[in-house]
Formats: sequence, C-alpha cells, structure tokens
Amino acid sequence: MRPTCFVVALLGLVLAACSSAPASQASIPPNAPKIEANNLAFTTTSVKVPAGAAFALVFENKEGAPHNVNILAEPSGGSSVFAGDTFTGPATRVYQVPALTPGTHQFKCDVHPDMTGTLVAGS
Amino acid sequence: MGAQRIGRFGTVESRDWGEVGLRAVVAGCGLASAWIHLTLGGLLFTMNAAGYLALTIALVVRLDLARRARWLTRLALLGFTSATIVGWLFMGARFPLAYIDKAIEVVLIGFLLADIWRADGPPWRTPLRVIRELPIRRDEQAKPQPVPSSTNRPTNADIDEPPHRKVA
Repeated sequence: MRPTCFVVALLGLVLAACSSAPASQASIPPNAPKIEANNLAFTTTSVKVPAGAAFALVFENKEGAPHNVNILAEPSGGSSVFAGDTFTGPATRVYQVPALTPGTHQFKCDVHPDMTGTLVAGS
Repeated sequence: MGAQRIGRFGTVESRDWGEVGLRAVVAGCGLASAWIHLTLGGLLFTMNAAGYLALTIALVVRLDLARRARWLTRLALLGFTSATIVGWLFMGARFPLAYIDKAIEVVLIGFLLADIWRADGPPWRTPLRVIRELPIRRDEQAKPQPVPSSTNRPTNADIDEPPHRKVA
C-alpha cells in the first residue's frame, strides 16, 4: 500500500469513528434522574437518585466533546462504582446503574476529570 | 532513487521519495492526532493539539531554519508522542476514539523511528550525536576531518542536516 493511501485510509477511519449516531430517545424512562453536560462542565451539578436499588440514569451530552458519567464511592472521589460509556454529543444515553450505598457520591467525566458533580443516593 | 534541486530559498532540497513517503505518513498521523485532541476540548488537550501541529509543521516546512533543526524536531516529536501515550496509559480515559488515537500515535512513532534511522542513523547513536553538538565540543569539530569513505558517503538525508553534522 502506498503511504498516501495509508494516510487517507487512516484519516477515514478516524472520521468514521467520530461520527456519532443519534441516541434512541424511546428508551428514556420518565422521571429518571438526569445529568447534562455542556461547555466542558456538568450543568447538573447535583442529582438525587434512589439508594439500594438499580436505577436508570439519563445522561445528555449537549456538545461535540466526548463525555461520560463515572460515579465514585466517596463524596471526594475514591474508587469507581459505575462508569458509563463515553460518547460525543449532542446525544443522550441511558445508563443502567447498579444499586448504590446511601449517601453522597461524587461523579466525574473520565475524559475531563475537572468536570465533577454530586450524586446523593437516598430514599 | 532521489534527485536534488535548488529550493525557493536557495537551499538544496532532497527529492528522495522514500523520505517523502515516510514524512507524509508521520505528518498525516501528527495532523490526525492534533485534530482528535482538538475535538476533545479543554486546555490540556488543546495544548497537546497545538504541540502536534507545531512539530508537524516544523517537520515538513521548507525553510532553512526548520531544515537545520529537523533532527531535533524529529526527536522532539518522538518524545512528545511517547509522553502523550504514557500520560494516557496512566490517567487517560478509555473510549473508542482514544484507542484510535493511540493506534495513530503508535504508527507515527514507528514511521518516525524509520525516518530518524534514515536521516540520523541508528537511534542508539543519536545521544552520541547530540553530545557531539554541544558547544563544548565545537573546538574539536573544527579540526580537519577525514574524507568520507565510499561506505560512509553523505546521502540525500544529510542535506537536511546542518553542515557540521554531516561528519559521521
């Protein structure tokens, strides 16, 4: 393969990977907790979720930069208890989060670790 | 297979198609990685994109100053790309675009090593060449140098280098 063909093929692969398909809106449950991200920040900085039971978490990425929601064990960080898929926006995903222990958890974006928020698990 | 011509700025330009091919792949990978980092947003990624862009331009631009520093640009791009990969291994997010970018960077390193080998010889000799470049050794380099033997003849790649580096 000629080098120019190789480079063109490589760039094509990158472009294909970056084109995101729109997320299905049909499976978004009503009244589900929702987190939004825009301008390299979580616009939802605090969200309440149920404790002790699995739940659906809606994450809307409103911009072209890739983001995800990673829920950590402690209010100040700690180990990850759930990490959602990273995707580029504008798009919405519904994460199926396993049961969390009651209390306050921090959530962050894995790509941009300075993007953080607080998730309160309670009844 | 190569040819030479006088360039726009009165410099001798190499037309070695092997060199052109190697550098095209390196430049393509550098630009692709710059673009990917630019799409990620944030200061760190933007600076990373700017680094890739600047080094890629310095690697291909046909200016005397850039041409004289090409060997250093190659080493800088090698170090920059390696540092980017290591940084990602330690603290980077794992998602499809990141894996694609790392694959591009690995390809870049492979072709860059080939370009370094072509232009500067085996990479393990490069540190010795860098030491030879230090100002403290300049007086020694001013001594008469032996005529290159037939097996140590300057190649097209040497045209990229400053005159005092042509001596093996």
